[in-house]
Amino acid sequence: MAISNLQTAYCKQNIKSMLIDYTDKFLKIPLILIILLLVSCEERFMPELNGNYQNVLVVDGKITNGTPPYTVKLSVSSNVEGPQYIALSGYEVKIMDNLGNTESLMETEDGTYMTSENGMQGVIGRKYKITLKSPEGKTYESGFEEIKNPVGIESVYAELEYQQIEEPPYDIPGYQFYIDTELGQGDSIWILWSLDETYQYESDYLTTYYYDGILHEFPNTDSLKTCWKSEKVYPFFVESTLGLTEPRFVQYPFHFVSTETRKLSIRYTIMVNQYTINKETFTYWNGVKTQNAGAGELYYTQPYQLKGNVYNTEDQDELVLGYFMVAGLAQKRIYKNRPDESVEMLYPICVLSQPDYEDFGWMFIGEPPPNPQYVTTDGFGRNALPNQQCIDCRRKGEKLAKPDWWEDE
Amino acid sequence: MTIFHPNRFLGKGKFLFLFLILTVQLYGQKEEIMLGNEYNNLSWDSFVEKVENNFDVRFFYNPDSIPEINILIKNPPAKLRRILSENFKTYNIKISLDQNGNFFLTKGQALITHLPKDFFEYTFAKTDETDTLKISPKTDDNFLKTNSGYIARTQVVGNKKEGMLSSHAKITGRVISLKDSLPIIGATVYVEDLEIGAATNDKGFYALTLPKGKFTMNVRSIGFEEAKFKVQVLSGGHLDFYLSSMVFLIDEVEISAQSHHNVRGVQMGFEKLAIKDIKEIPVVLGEKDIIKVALLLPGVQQVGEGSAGFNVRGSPADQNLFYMGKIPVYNTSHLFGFFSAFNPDAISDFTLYKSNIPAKYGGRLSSIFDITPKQGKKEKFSARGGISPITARLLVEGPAIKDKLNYMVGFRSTYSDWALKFVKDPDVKNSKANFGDAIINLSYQIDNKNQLKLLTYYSYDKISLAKKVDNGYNNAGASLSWNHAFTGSHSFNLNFAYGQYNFNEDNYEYDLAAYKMNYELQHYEVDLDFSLTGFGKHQISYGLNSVLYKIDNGNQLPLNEYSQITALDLGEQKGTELAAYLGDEWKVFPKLTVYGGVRYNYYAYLGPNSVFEYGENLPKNPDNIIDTLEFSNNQIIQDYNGLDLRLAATYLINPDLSVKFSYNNLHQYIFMLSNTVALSPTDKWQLVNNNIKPMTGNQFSLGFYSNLINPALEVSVEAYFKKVQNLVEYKDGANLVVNEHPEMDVLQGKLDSYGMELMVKKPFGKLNGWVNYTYSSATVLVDNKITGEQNNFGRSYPANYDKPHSLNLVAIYKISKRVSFSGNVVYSTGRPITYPTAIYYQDGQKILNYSLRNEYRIPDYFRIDLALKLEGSLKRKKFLHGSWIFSVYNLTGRKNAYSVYFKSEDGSVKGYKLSIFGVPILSVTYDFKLGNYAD
Repeated sequence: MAISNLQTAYCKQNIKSMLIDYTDKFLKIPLILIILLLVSCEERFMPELNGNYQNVLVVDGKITNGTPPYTVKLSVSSNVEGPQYIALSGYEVKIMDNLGNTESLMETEDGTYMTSENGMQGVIGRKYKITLKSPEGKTYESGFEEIKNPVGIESVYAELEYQQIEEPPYDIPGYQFYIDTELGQGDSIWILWSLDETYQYESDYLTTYYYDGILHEFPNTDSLKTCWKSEKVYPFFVESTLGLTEPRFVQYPFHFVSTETRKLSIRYTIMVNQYTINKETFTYWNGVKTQNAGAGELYYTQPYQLKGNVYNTEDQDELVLGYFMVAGLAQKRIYKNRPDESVEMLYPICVLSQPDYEDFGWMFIGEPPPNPQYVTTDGFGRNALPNQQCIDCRRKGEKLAKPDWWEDE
Repeated sequence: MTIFHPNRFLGKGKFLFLFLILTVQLYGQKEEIMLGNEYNNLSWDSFVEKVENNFDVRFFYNPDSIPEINILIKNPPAKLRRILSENFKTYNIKISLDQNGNFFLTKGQALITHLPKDFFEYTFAKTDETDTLKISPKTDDNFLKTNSGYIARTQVVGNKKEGMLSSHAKITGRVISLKDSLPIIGATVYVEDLEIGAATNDKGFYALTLPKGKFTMNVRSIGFEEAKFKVQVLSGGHLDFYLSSMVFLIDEVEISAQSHHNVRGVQMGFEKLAIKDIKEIPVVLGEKDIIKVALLLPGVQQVGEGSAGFNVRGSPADQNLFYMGKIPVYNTSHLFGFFSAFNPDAISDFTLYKSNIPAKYGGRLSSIFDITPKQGKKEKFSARGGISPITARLLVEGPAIKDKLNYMVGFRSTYSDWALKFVKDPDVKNSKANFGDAIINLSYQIDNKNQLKLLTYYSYDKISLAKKVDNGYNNAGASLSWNHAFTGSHSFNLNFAYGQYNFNEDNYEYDLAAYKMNYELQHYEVDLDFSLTGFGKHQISYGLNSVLYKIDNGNQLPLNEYSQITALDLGEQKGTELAAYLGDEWKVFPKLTVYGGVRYNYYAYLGPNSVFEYGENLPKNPDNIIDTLEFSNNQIIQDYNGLDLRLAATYLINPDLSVKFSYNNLHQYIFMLSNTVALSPTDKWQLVNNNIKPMTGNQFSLGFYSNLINPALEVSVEAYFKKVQNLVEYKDGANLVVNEHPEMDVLQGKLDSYGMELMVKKPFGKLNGWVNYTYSSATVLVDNKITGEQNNFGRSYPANYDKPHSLNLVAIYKISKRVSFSGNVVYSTGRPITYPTAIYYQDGQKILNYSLRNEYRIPDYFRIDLALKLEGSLKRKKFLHGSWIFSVYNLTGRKNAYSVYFKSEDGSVKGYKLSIFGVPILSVTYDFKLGNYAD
């Protein structure tokens, strides 16, 4: 097979060593490897890949004991170099339980199929499955799986810790989040944690004017200053208690937020969605985790093709990717304020410089800008046109509006 | 003391005499040396030393032919030449003197020290080394000129009277090393006139049945001078041959013993390397490594540069059996595979059997690596050592009781920690890596017929990673063997061996899950091996072989009070493997030799243990357990037996061309549990049990062997086909949870491999080395039709180490005795790899979808290495001889892929290639030894 070296962008030719940390399982199983001391070299390399597994049906959905609606997204896989989400519309999607209840999902936007808000409600102990029918008439389904009794969350808490890195400043302060779960049922429990983080932050300058061809005075100078941003934390965390003394997690370290960004600059929160899953779902997600951790390395497990739990009813060999997850859900939210003053915040802060003052003058020359340009004024009354990200907090994609659930201190 | 052996220098048409001629012409005759009374009544050794110290004169002789006499000077002062003649006349030792003042003492025949007139027709080499032996060829009628050697004299076996009644006679005897009087194993005694021959067995015995008459016998072995003897057979009798080591002429270094067996021997797929022959070959970081050199042989592969384990002819690494002496070694690498666990100074040679494995060996399907440790020197104390960028080595040897007990003790230790400090990565900076090994070899000569050998071996690795994980692993072992020769040609070897491998790990990366775990394998072995030569045209070996395996899968324990880890005892395993074997090498006709061997294996998996019984035809998982069975100590849980068959035949088409065939059938009862691409030190050896069946292997090989320009160029081509049943493979996605029931994590499948190996070797000469090309294929299929379990959806896939094309070139060029250049060129197809070929999303998370197993290959591998070796001065009298090796590994700096992997960056997935030795690596190694160059 011909493999071409598309890019030879750079190559670190320093004495470097590689530490491979076998983080396959929560138990940090033995294989740790040091490939030491030598002139190793990492460079960009893209092998030539055939397109065999592109445009494969992908199922992404779940039903839990949480409040409806439940969403199922259908898409097709894309190539590795230019990943994109390619929605798949026109399918008939149904969720049914083992009591014979069925609900057809509505395609609310391309490839997104939802139950209605007052429709089916997932019930703990009941079994659910999904069926799909493609526009060409191919049918797919999953097996019945039970919504497990969700393991409760006892507490989520954060501690100030330092992460070590290769370059100065070597130690990065941040919050390490931990979780303690309640005791689960049975010998072992399998958990997937999906975290939603939201944080409040401010831009560095007050807005005094804006320019859209004409310079306007800006009435509320701090109205572009404070924003809230919500993101999902990737990758998800997945663990099993196999090998632990009891089916619960105590002080499990799952998420680290460093001070290198503004996430901790004012107030930060995470919503922990704790899914109690079955062993098969765990095997799938654990496979994802293992393979993302270090596939391709000699001391990692062999990567392999991961099939999901949905299959073509007529052709079991057809590859279908993704999972229809049936799980018990427990949730908990925790807030953390900016760490106290002794902790060095490493995120960059904007400072006005000579070009910013000069840009204010240049702004008036030529065509009016497509978007309003926001201007700030320093303590000496001099106007400057700063980097717009430093003045308009929305420029990073955040919203000015406080989420309605947000709790201030 | 220099050892003189005439036919060595006269042979092979390589003469070093030009210098002699020049000096003759320039300096003419020297003055006669007169010796006074102070030289009277000295032993020969003291006499030589004293004379050499005081006069510009050298003596050349074979110490074994000099009787133990004191040199008497009747009328001092007397001429040296006269003194020698008078003292040695009665022993038929002739004295000759050349124009440089060199004395030659030869038994029977005097040397003529001037050249024949037509001599320059042969001359093509010259030397200016002062210590080189210079003699002239002899055209005396008493020397029989042959293709490649001269025969000194006719030896007579038996007597006419006894021979009157029979037309044939049986000759037995030993081939013995002149240097240390030890028997030489695997030497060939070949009767040129009859085109028949015999090889010596592992006690050095050969046997031949010949018609009465005069014959020319050609005796050769690796590392020794080839010698021709003229033998007159009158009746049956005993005849020992003595061979001298190759010590002087470095332009004649043998690369492999295979040369001797190449065409005539019944061995195929057989490689033998002597450490002294490969010391010039460049290796990474200047760390001489005989095992790494094995990778340059055809049919031997490795997953990645610097990874542990070898793959011989498409078999996984656990199908190789390593013996250090008689000690089984279960982990042959230091630092996860960067270096091998054997001190190169302590090794004499190693033999690799990859197609027809003698019936004596069993238990592994693919190959036997038999490493012979060095025996302590018999003559005098000696020491050697060296320093490379990674390790320091020291080895001492010598006689403890003269002619009785000699010893060899070697140590090696790393000081490589310093290198880690240069690394920026805090995880590595805080890491530590240490390794070392030690070996002690004692041999005790009870009498002529009995010898005891005690070997002990130990190696350790201690690696601490970033204050998170501490890892240690050790090999330890000991063996005691007794060799006994019966009268005649029967001998036996009784051997007790113990080998142990263990590892332990402390992992404190997360307090919650901090744990420690350990593992230990113990191997107890008792062998009784008889060999019988001279039973007609048969060479028979038979014996018993018994092994007891004890495996402690260890405990997983919480490391501290915060840890939530459940203390878990992973249980123990015990098994025994008993075998009886019989092998016969039979010269059916002068041109046809066949080998047949049977080996009956009995294996029992023993208690105490509790094992699961699973539902018939159901996957072995917790849901299908139908019963738990308890067994008491040594109770047989499950036993298996099997009959191994070994067949081989060699047919000589003509003296320089043979065709060989072999068939091997083997059983294996131990395997390594590994689901990583390369071996890791924490991979566990496990025993076959009631739920995992023994592996079986069948291999057919066919080859042609030839010496094209006798014997300067050996050419061979060998094809093989191998099938392994019940190969143990990890299940796709099996949880790496420590499991006391390995059957739940594995599936058994099939391995098919085939290939063709082409080898061209120039074993000696100023330029020597080899080039080989291998085409091979190894595919695995795991598809259990009954339980429905499969890997890779039941499709076959290439094994991780499958590299279809492989080319190795090794060349050593000796510029002079003190300077040699060497180089390697290595090419192979990239190893198979599973790439992510598509991407999809789950709740916004990008997930890579991988291809089928090993559907792709990493880029091809190519490397050139060069080394320059400088020897210290060739002065004969010196305390220490040193040598420097300057080497460049990966001269072109090609960034050979070690692995290819993918990272998600800025919303897209980027591929990366990691090269371990991505730039030329320079290293300097210094080696030293007591004494001079030749010692």
